Amino acid sequence: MRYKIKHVTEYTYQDPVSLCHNRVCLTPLNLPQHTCISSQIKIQPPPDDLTYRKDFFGNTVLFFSSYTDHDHLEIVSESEVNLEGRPNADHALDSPVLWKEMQQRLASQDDELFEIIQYTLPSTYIPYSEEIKKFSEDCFAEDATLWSACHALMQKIYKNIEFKPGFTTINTPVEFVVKAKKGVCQDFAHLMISCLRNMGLAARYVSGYIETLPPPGKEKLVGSDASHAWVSVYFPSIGWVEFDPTNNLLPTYNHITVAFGRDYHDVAPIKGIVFSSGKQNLTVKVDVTRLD
Amino acid sequence: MESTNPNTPLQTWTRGYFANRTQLDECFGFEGEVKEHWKRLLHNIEQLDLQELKSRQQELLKLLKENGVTYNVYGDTDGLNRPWLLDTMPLLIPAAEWRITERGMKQRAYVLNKVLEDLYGERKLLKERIIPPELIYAHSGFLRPCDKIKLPGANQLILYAADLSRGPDGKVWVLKDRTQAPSGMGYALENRSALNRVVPELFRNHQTTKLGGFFNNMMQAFLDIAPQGKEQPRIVLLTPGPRNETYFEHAFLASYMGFTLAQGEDLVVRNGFVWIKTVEGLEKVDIILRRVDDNYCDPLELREDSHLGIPGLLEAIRKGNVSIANPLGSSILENTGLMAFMHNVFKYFLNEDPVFKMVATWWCGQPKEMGFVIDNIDKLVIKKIDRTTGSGTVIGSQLSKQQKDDLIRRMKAQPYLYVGQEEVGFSTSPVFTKGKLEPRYTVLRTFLVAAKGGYDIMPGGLTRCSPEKGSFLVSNQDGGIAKDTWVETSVKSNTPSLLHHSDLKRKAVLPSRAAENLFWVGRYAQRVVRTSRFIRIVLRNLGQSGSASNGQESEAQNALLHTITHITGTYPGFLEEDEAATVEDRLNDIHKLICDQNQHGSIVFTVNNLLKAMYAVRDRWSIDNWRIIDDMEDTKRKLAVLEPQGIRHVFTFLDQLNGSLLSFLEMNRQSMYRGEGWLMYRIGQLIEEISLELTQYRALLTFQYEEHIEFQILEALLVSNQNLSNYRSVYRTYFDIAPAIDLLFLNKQNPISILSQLEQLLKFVEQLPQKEKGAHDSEISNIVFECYSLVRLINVEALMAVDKELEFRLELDRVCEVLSSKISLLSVKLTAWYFSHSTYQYQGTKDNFKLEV
Repeated sequence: MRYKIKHVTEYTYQDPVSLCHNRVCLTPLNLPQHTCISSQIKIQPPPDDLTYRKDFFGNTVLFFSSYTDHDHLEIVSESEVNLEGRPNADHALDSPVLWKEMQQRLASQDDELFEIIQYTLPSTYIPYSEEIKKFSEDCFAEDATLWSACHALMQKIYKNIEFKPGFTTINTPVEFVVKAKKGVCQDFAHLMISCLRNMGLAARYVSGYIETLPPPGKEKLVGSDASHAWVSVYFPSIGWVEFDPTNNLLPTYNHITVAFGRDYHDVAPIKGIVFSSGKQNLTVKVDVTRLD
Repeated sequence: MESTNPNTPLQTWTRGYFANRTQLDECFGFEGEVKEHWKRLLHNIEQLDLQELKSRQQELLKLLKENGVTYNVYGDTDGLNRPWLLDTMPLLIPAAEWRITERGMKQRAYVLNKVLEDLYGERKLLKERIIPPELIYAHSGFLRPCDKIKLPGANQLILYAADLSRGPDGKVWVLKDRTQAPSGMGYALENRSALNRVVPELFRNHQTTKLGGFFNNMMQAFLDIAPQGKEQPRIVLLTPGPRNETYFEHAFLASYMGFTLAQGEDLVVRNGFVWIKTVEGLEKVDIILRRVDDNYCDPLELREDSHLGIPGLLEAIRKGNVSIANPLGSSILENTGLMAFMHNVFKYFLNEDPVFKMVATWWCGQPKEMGFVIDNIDKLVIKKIDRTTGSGTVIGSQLSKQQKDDLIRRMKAQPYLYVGQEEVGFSTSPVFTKGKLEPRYTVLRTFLVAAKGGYDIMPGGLTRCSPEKGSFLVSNQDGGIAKDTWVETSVKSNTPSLLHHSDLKRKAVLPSRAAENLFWVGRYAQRVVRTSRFIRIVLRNLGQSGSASNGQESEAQNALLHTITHITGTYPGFLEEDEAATVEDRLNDIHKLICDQNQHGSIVFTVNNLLKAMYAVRDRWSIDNWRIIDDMEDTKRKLAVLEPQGIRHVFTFLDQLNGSLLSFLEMNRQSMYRGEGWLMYRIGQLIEEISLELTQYRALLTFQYEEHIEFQILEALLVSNQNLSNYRSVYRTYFDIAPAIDLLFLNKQNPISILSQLEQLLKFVEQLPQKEKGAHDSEISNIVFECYSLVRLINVEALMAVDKELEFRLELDRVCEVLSSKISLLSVKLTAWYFSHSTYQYQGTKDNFKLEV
């Protein structure tokens, strides 16, 4: 399956900005059966300085800066991705590993896992929390396999948390999300990661896109898609296996991966500092189009 | 032998010293005998008698206070600028012992450098399980954005400090490592020079290694990391600012080493380079010596709520365009859990055992060790692996059952965050206090700097002792006593302690923020002098008439009181009609205008602002000026606690304050370098003078009063402006408004006439640096020129014209108003053009940045 993604971010500033520094994480990853065929980021006004780098996690990030006054900034990321499936997901389904075993192997610092261990630890948006632990405990039956525990947890979050845009911000703590039972995709993802890490398992945050379908009989609106976030869990001798708690499904052909990190903080699509004191206005438009 | 004669001074001083002694002492053996290497020093001290020694101790503290040697304490407004306590007794280290210290510290620095390089490089230590990965990944100092960044040159760890103590076994132990922005070396240098100056007798017959050479090595270490081997790099010292605990040292080192003192807001990243904002425009920065914690250095990629850093810094570093010491991410080495694995790390890199023992440490991330720590919690000290999260150190034996259970629960939840450590043994050393010697726990901080092929160590260091007998607290935050540290040497050292800046022949720059502070020092200083003089006159007036006219306010008094409100900007103040106000009420109001530090515009309020501006550029004042600033601070404190009933004493304090200020101004006039800083400072002074004078004249001279009232007003005005004798010597007549206006506005022989001051101002603004060829520069001098010509063309007759109906001098009022508004426009333009602050914010404030699917 081939996708074309267009992600437009537009800032307008009340007062002119004299200087800005940005870090952009919008280039899809190359993974097994997930090929980024092309990717291009266009910026208006054209920046004075621009560098592509790989970050600590292997994601592609773009740094750019502008030193000329501007009252408007547009970042257009266009990419094409060929998606043939998710090989790890099929293996995980049959994996007999119990979640307890995985927890044990991580705790005993198994050699294979020396880098994976960091995904069991708290990070900026993933706290250690007794409450979160309590919330998820019933998904982790003593003799459950890792896969069935993850699946149960995904379902539990999907059933318990209502998808409600505008209720939370990126700084809303996951403990609050559990209490309020409302949130958007990164809240779902953060909550699931939090539950897994509090049980001593390795989980990371995936930032990307999902193809959405219009209601039956309606035309798909331009710009109606959005960035998406989901979760990836480490399975021994298989690797990372993805779960989408927002939609209660296992990503296969509709999820396009841009970046992995410990949480949103590591892979925020755009981070920037602008030298200006005035207000800013932001609009984001995303289109995911299936090409074949 | 010494211990047999009960009459030696030493015997008197050490009475009680040896009671209940269990610790080793640096100076005395268990029998009370003086150790060999201390004999000469104690002999020298005995030559001074007790009174003399006491007064030298006083003198020492006074000197340090006057030199502005302070240690700020967080969260304590009055504790800001806590004086530095230095003991007259130094700590002595014999040459043979120092050789071991030197070897041990160099070995440790070498290994830590390797660890740092590995953790941000290949991470073999983690792959090969020399260090458990969790210990690194869970530490807040492991900064992923800094991965794979390398400094040019052979070393990554440029500056390194470690705290050492002597355990009960007589061996030296390493207590902790300081690896990101170690502080203390400036204090060590200051300790030495103060002691040398105040008690030179102590040094008699001693060969003590000099400290200056270390700073030369440090300079070399910076040159070694210059980007692309640049030969004359510009080096800035990045400080979090005057509120930081060791700000004194930042300013001290910057001026000692010839670096520019800068805060985050002084620096900006452009075209991939770091630049410092100066009054002449942007200047490229090559090396940053940082005193800002690494997490705060770049809000773009590290802590985004930081305003102490430089947005985009990491990218400039990655491009190799700027070097920073110590590199960002080096706080990972301050991980207390590392102590548990250092033995293996030494083996791994050197195949050697460490020279120094380390405090026995158990990292709770391992089940066995965790079990041990819980079982032995009563004998251990429990610490977090990093300093940033929550409360630090807990002594197990001091916890209640409940606290212990809580702690164990928290440890079980996140074991990797905790270590258990053995309680550390300290030796004591004698501290001279209250006329005798007392044993105090002692810690030595040693300093190292990267060099070709290894590390150099400062021969000495910063010794700190516990503030109270028997207390284990040895830190500056808790108040402690410092000692100079003498390393004995057999060779006569001949290194001059003066630095040769042959490598730094760059032109000094004036950062915009420093320029702004100097401008405000000029303005506030003049404001304090002027307003306090005027208020003093009015106060005296009020006191005299209070008894004479039964509390009835005269018209003259009214006018003077109104003027106070105008010049202090404390509206409505005395402008509000209050028939019932008694002299008492007026005195109370004036007391507030002097002493109330929360009242905007009061004298104490302005002095506080003045002091703040002075501290912000403290690297620019001479030592003599520090003494004066210290006096001003004392006087200000007295004023701030003065009760309204004590207003009589206000005269003394205001005189003291003005005395200090005038010496300060005079000192600057004589010795301040005539560069851009001087320009800013002088322009600030002149702007303040002119605008206060105009305010006074407008308030006092525009209304027409009866002759005797005008007489009183003029007298008060001329006295307050110190123009009374000038007036008499020139005009020799009765007071009359026309000659007064001539003197105050136009007389060129009168240095404070508006015309004279504008003439000077014009001279100064014309020397202002030309940033770019453009309209702004001429705009500034045009404003002054307009003022100048306006005054030059004044027709006194016209100015004097009185509107019969209003009994008001309309033309005088108009001229004052026009001039005032032009002068304030000038201040605004200077601010915009030379001091421009850049405020920055996060792109798309996160709260409206939502991902929605």
